[in-house]
Amino acid sequence: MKRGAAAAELVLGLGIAALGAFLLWETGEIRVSPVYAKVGPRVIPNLVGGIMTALGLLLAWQNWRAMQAAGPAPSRASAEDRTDWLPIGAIAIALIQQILLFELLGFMPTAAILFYCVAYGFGSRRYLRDALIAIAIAVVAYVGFVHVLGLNLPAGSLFFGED
Amino acid sequence: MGALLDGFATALTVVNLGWCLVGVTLGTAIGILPGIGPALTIALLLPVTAHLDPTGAFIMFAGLYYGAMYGSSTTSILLNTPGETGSIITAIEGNLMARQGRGAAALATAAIGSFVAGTIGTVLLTVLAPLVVKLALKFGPAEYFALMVVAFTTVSGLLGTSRLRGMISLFLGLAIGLVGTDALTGQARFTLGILQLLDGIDITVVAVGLFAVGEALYVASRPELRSAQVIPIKGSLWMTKEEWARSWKPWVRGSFLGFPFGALPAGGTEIPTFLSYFLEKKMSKRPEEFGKGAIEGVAGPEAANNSAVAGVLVPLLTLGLPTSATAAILLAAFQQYGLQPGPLLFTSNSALVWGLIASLYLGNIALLLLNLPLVGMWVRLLAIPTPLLYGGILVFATLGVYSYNQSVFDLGLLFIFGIVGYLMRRFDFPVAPAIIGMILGPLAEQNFRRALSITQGDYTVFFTHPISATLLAIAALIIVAPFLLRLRQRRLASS
Repeated sequence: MKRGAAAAELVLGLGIAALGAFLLWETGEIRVSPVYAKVGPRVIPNLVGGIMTALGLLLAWQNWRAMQAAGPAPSRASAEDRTDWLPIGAIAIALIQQILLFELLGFMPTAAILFYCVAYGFGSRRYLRDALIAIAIAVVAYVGFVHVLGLNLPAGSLFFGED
Repeated sequence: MGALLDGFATALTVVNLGWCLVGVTLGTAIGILPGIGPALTIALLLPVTAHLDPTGAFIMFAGLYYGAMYGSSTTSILLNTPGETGSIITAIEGNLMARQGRGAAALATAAIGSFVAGTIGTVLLTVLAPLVVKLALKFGPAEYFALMVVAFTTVSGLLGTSRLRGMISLFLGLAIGLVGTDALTGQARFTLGILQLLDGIDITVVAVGLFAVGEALYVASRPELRSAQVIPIKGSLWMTKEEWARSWKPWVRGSFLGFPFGALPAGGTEIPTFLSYFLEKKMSKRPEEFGKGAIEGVAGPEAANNSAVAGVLVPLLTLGLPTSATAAILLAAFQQYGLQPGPLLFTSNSALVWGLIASLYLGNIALLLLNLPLVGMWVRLLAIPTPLLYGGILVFATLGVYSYNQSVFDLGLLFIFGIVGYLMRRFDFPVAPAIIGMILGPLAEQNFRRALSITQGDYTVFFTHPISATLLAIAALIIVAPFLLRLRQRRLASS
């Protein structure tokens, strides 16, 4: 295994172990009534937290050993392992803006921005076409789901006030 | 037999026939489109179907599940990207056929093979389901718990690249399933004081996050995955006599190979397709053609993945035991209607169960027509540019997740699970065990605690009941066997 990948997985394993430990700690916070003391609400959470901690440590240990065996780090990661961060950033921003602005601006504007950013993230550079399709999809989805299927989607308190 | 005829009476009403057609059409479409699968689609449809009649909804879902298996073979053959995991092998051999100008024959053998296998699988389901129901009536909480433990070990051990990764994925799912109010004592668990978490985390949020958002982040971050070349269909859709002669045996063998893998909690549709491929290669008179576009290598695996889907329905309907991600979401759909799949469902909701099974026969016929004469129409879906496709997927993903509870909090959770899904794809963790763990975990815990409350906390109950003890022994064997085998190999190597 490549050393860089092993190092990343070592961190991942420790993260999983930490999550398991957090579950164990949180399990201690669950209140137990004495009637259920024997097989109460803590038994399975303790089991899940304990095993998860062990699995995370095992993953970390395996990768630590792989790193020892692999010797010094190679100069560069190979091309096929390369991750493009720009698309991830574009999609993340698109999702975060929707969470923050969903009720204020409503479904249609945030969905159109989401669509546009995702298309951009996937490498599309036909800005005008993408923008037109984004608006069309947002409007059609809103009208279809709210007026035909009867779901509730926010229209946007900025434009329409609170309900 | 009478029950099945009643089922046809249910399935043949105009409304239910309509739902069946909607399901198979939608299923074919999402099977063809890369980036969306049946698990994700059914999860997204849950809010829309919450107010529908359950029989119609499940007829649609089942048609969708079958249809996705048909549609994904088209993508595999023409695009060399498997539409679903069950079509990985087809993406190799079928795509090679398409490159040689035999794409039409590959599509035909895949579609007809899917039909043959889907029908054989549905017949097996019809015959076996009542038998399993009889057995399942003997199951108490201890037996159910043991059965679920077997399912946990097999799904985490057999799906994906390594057992450790499968186990981690499973326990992640189990942890997600624990969040919320404890069903037996009403205590809040892992809610971190957040009010919205008291009701637990919805499967829709998790499935859409792990599949749609995680997948989008992953595919976008890999330039080589963003573009692919569609090969135009060449040749005649009418297979030649030789092609029929070479296809029919693989169809039948694939059908009988795929079904048990779906039915036992042995992990979905991928493994039987690989086994079928190697079996056909071994039995072929022309093994040298494999890897260069052998029709048997498409016919067998495509039959195997379709009959595996029929097989998955056996434990799901008779025991309430999901063996694939899609089945886990179907189980969640049953719970949404307040129904619990299992032996009692066959008596309390016999119209629904048998209507569903009968609709599978009809759906298969509709799918053969949709995927063979009309395949040219579907291929146009592949012309949708990837950026627009994923833009659309994420718009509908967020729409579906929000409308389930009308909660922006859920959109935040969706983002978090999207990042988890990305990390899982990036580091090669299988997603299905997490989905199954999340749905099955709470049921396993309930049965575990019920069994123990009957015996006043005596843990030996799991080992004194013969069925439970056998099942737990099987689970232990599944965990331990690979280690023992490796140990033996090492010893053999050193001596």
